[in-house]
Amino acid sequence: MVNISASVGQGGLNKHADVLAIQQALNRILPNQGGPAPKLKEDGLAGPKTIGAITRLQRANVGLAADGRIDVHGPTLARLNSLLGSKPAPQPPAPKFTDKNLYAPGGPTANDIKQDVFGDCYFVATLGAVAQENPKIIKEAIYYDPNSQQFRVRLYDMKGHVKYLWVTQTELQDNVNRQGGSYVDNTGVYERTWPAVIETAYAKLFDTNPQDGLGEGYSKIIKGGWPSDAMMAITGNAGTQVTYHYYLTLGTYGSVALLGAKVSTSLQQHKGVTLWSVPEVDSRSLWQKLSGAPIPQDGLVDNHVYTVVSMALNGTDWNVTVRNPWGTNMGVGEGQDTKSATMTVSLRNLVATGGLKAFQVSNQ
Amino acid sequence: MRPWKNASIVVALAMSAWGCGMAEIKVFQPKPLDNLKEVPATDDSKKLDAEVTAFLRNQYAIASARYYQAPGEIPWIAISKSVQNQMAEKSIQRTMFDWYEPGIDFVEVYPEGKNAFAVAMPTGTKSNADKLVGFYILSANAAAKK
Repeated sequence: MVNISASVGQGGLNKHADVLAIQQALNRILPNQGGPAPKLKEDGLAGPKTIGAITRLQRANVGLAADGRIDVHGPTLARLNSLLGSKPAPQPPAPKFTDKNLYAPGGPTANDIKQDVFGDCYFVATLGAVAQENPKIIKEAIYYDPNSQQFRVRLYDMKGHVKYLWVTQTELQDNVNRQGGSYVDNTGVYERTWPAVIETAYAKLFDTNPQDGLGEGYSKIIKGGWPSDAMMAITGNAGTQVTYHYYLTLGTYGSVALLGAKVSTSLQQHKGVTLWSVPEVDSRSLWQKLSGAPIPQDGLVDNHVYTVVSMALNGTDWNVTVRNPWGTNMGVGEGQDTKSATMTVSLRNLVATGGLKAFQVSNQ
Repeated sequence: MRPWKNASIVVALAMSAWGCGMAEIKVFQPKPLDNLKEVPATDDSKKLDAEVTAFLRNQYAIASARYYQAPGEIPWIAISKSVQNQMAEKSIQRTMFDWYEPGIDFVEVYPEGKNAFAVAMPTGTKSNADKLVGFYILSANAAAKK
C-alpha cells in the first residue's frame, strides 16, 4: 500500500518523499503486470525513467489514461495499490472533540454547564463560577494536541500539586454517553465541549486504573465533595469560605449587608463564587407548628452548589442571582420551580431560613 | 426422639415461614417530587423491574414498587437529589455497588437494616426526555446473604 501527499510524474508536484514511495511501489510490481524492467533507481527524483514506468503501468492496465502521472486520489494509484495487494488506508474519522469546538465565540461561560445525572454539583458549579469570572483559567487549563487528538488538562490534587491528565476522544465520548456536565449529550451538537473535557479529566484524576474505563473515577466524584475541593482542583487554591456572622453592633440587617458586600466585591474583582445551600432550619413558633404551617423555604435545592452570577443591592438586603448547574430550576421541590437556569433570591431570606451554608470565593 | 417435640418444631417452622411471608417490609419511603405523576404498572415498568433485578445481582429482591412518569423538563439529577435529601434527613446513606456505572446504571439503593429503598430509571433514558421512574422497596435476598 502506498499513500502520497501530492501528484507524482508528468506535470506533478513530485515531492521527494512521494516520488520515492512511488518508485518503491512500482519496483514491487511484476513486469507482466506493468512493472518497470529493469527496476527504477529509488532516488526520489521524477525523471524520464520514472515517468516512463508510470506510463508503462497505465498502458498495461486497461482503463487507465497513459498520461505518466499518479494523482493522490486518482485511478492509477488505486490500481497500483490493488496490484500491491492492499487498498489505500481509509482516512481516520475526523475527531469530534478539538480545540475548534471547545468554546462558544465568547469563550467559556457558566451557561455551558449542564449537570444531568452525575452528583458532582460542587465541581461543575465551580467550573461555571471560574469560567464566568476568570475564563482565562479554563482556557489555560486545556491544551489540544492535533497529532494525538487528545487533550491535556491541568488540574490540581487535594494538596495543590499540579496534575496533567491526557484525555482521549474515546473517554470524551464516554462522558457524553454517560450524560456528563456539558450540553453535548442534550443537543447532539459537538460544541461548547470544554465541560466534558475537564469533567473527564477530573474523573481520571480519581481513577486508579483508567485503562479499564473511568467508572471508578466517576463513582468517586459523584459521591459528593466540597466546593473548596473543586476550587482547589480547578485553580490550585481552595479559595476562601465566606459565611454569615452576626455582629451585635450591626444587627441582623447590617450583618447580612456586610456579607453581601463581601461577596459582591469578590465578583467585581472577577473572582469565581459558588453558593452552598443546605436544608432550612425549622424556625417556626410553637403556634405555627401546631397550626401546621410549613417550614419557610428559600427556593433553592438543599445540599446543592450553585454558581453565583451576580449580587445586587436591594435596599438593606442583597439579591443573589445564582445559576443552577442543572441548567434548569425545575424539580427543585420548594414551590418556586422555573425553567430558567438562574434564580434570584434574597440573601436576608437565605440567612433567616438557615438555607445558606457558605459562599466559596476563588482566590484568583 | 419424642414425637411431640418433633411436632412442635414443625409447627414453629411453619409459623415462622408464614410469618416471614406475611411480614410487611418497613423502610422509609421518600415522597416523589410534585411534578411526578403516579402511573400503573405496564410492560415498560416490567422491563424496569427486570433491569433493577439484574442490577441488584441477588443482593436484594423487589418486594413492591410504585411507578411515576416524569416530564422531560425534570432532569434525573433532580429526582435523585430529592430522594437523597429526604434520606439524608433520616441519616440513611446510599450504597454504591462495585459494579455500578455512573451515567449508565440508574438504580440508586438506600439500605435500611436488611432491606432497602431504591429509585430507578431505565438504562438509556435521556435526562431531558420523558421518563419512567420506579420507587422500589427491596427485601434482603436470603440466598445472597449466605
